[in-house]
Amino acid sequence: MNTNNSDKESVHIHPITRVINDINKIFFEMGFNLTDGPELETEYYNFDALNVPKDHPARDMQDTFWIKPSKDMPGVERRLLRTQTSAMQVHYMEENKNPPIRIICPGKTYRKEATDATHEMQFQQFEGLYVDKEVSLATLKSVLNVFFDKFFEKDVDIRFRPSYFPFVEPGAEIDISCFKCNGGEAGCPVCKGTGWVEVMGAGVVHPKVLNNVGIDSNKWKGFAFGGGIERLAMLKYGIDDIRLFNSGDLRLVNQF
Amino acid sequence: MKVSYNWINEYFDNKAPNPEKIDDLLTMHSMEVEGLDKKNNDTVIDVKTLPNYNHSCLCHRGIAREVGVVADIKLNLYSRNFKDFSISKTSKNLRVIIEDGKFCRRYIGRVIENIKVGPSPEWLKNKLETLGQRSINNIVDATNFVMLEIGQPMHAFDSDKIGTEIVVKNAVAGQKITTLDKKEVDLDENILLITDGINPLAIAGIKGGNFAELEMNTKNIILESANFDPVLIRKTAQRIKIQTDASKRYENDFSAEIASEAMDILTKLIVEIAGTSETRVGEIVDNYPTKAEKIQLGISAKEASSIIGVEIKDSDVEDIFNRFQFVWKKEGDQFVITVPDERLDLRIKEDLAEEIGRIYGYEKIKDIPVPKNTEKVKIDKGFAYKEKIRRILYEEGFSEVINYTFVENGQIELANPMSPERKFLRTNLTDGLKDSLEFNARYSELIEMPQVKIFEFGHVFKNSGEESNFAIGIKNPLGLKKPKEKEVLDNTLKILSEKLGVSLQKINKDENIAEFNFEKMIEKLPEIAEYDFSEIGDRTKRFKKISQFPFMIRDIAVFTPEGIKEEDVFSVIKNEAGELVIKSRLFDVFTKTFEDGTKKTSYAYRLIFQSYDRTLTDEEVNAIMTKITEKMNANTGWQVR
Repeated sequence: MNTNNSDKESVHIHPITRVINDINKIFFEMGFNLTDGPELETEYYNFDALNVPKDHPARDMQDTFWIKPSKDMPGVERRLLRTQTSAMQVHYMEENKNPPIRIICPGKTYRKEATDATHEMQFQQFEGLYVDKEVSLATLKSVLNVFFDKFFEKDVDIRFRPSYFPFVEPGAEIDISCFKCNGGEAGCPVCKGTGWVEVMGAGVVHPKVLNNVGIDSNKWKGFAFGGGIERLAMLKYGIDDIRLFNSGDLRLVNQF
Repeated sequence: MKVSYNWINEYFDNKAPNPEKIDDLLTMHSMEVEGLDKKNNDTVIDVKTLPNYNHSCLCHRGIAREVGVVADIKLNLYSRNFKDFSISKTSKNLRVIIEDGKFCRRYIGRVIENIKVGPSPEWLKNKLETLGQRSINNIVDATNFVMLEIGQPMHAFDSDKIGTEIVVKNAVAGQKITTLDKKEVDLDENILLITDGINPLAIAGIKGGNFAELEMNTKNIILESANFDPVLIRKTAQRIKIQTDASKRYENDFSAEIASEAMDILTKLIVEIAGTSETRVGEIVDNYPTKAEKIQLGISAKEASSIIGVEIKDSDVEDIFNRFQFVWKKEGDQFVITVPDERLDLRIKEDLAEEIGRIYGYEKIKDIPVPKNTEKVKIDKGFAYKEKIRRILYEEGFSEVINYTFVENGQIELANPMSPERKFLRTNLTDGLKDSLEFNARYSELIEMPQVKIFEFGHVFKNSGEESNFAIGIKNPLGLKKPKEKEVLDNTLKILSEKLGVSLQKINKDENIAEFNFEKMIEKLPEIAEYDFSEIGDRTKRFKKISQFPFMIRDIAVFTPEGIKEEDVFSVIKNEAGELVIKSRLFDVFTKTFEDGTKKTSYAYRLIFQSYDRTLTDEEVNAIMTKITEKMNANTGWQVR
């Protein structure tokens, strides 16, 4: 039973805002710039510049919402709702061609998929990009370790599993050790007894992505990572349905 | 991609690790295993092959090779021995003509005469059935076997129904083909066909036609082992809306080199399972206009180390490349491999670094901290002001909402909406806020907001472009007269305007909602020196499930003798009401001196009843209220009013 026996209005913070602010704070303290960008993108920024070839099955990895071509603007490049905040990597690097670069970009993304308790057509991601001379999976790992320890407010382990994203090579899925049961308790609702929770994709920036924006990949290397904000909120706060976040429902928000 | 464990195991003469071990090894070093499904004394392993593996791993050999590498065990070239044969050659000539070598990179044809179409042997039927495929007949099953074994789609035509020519050419507009499953498909000049010169026999790389379909009495066949342009197949399959096991492999691109090997094993298998004493096999007719290149690719141990971030030694690279069975040589510090034909994913140094890293083991990577950022981090004005505004509004009792970008009407339309109600991108936040206000006003008691006060930051989309907007809204639930929505809104805007130091011009007309263009709003404001990350609110809160069932409200007020505290009253409610009261609120307290001089304090509570698994009835709730009333009245000097 929940009681609120005072008339004093308490502060309610949307769990998504709380998560974004935590992300921003932790990365800001590591010297990352916060940046933001358009949700309506051209095919170039969402796919081409990120080394996702045209007419390639890799584009099917994310089902895209396409914009109906406007009669007033014939011949204009196809537009879409960004399927990933990774498009911001390209925008930022085009404007800032002189590394080192450290950015973090949270924002809304869209994918055309049937919705259920764990899938949404509108959700938020955060993208991180780090470009410098000494960059490897090991530096990536150190940054993510700091982030997840601070985010979950406890010491969590990180593991990399091989994966594929066209804009990184090598690419990896990032799992964190279960912050709930600390390692494979049967029936744990968070990790399902595996001891690990999948939280983001990451990797070393593909040289083509750097070259596409005019940064010499022989001189500079980068790592990038991206994760779902709703997913982190669901994990951290035990929220059971992703659709609650975008429904303007204060039965969710005012719990926090 | 679903593969059979038993089939994989045959590559290793049944010495492969068990399915659970394979799951572990592949997941940590190669590709994610999505499921192990026991079936017919076998285990179906469902591996998630991503585009980089889809060139080589949409078949058992590809997956078996990955197992071989990650488990460090040798494997055979095939899962079974294909028996060599020595039978007479057919004298029948076959010609293969390719009109455009860009789209048909290679086409191998071969005639086989005097075979007997019939049921497949049990081992073959079992293999297909385990993988959820229907056994058709020995010839068709053999073609499917070869595709599942090494990834090359194969096709067989009844050669008596066609002449001695295979012509690969584009369809003409208006032409039609009837597929094997009796569907008529309209063709156009961008669709590549396999023809006999005149009649369409198949849509290249996608689906066979019924013109030269095999029948039970078919005796003579032409086999196809071909390679087509992946983009062409992908576009065609999407346009005619036919996706097949073959088209999936073609659109993912695989090496044209394996076509001859595939033809060789298919021939041997057909002779074995459909051959007769009269069987004659023709020479292969290999038309190969776009030959796959041999690629050399090198990396040094130092380069691999710098990408992975652990010290990789020459001996590590040697060992790992040997596990992959790469043909390699050392040139200076570079290990140069001849990229295996199937490995279309190995094209740059970083690809090799990944192969080295994942086999060496990502678990061995230790953190290398990044240096401190010596440059001052720029403060983003948008982020900073959003947080500033949020904090002003939290103080005024507002909550933030996030609404959908998709709406029924707008200016920017989706080409492929989820539903007609979500066809456009929103042009304002106001409409969404109206719905949220309406929705939440119904839950005013549940959400503990006597007056619903919300705000949203979000992008809106117009023909003129994408804008970042901000809106706040207020709604009184039914029955609440004061304070008036407009007054509270005006007052809030005044506070906002004062605290920000900017005059606010709303862009909408609604009385209870104010929307602003956020960028214009902060345009004239000074830069902010620091982000406000200071602690606010209660970060220890965790989610409580939201019931989908209606809630009920009951009020109870009780006079209590002097000295009785709020907690005492509440504990009675708590004991009697149990789980069904999800919220309670003390909404009135006063003390009254009665005529006899006694002082009594009245406590009035509002109770919200709701169940997680059913709709509560009046009777049920009334019964609880009666119990609470009885308990209270049983206390000396207590009187429920």
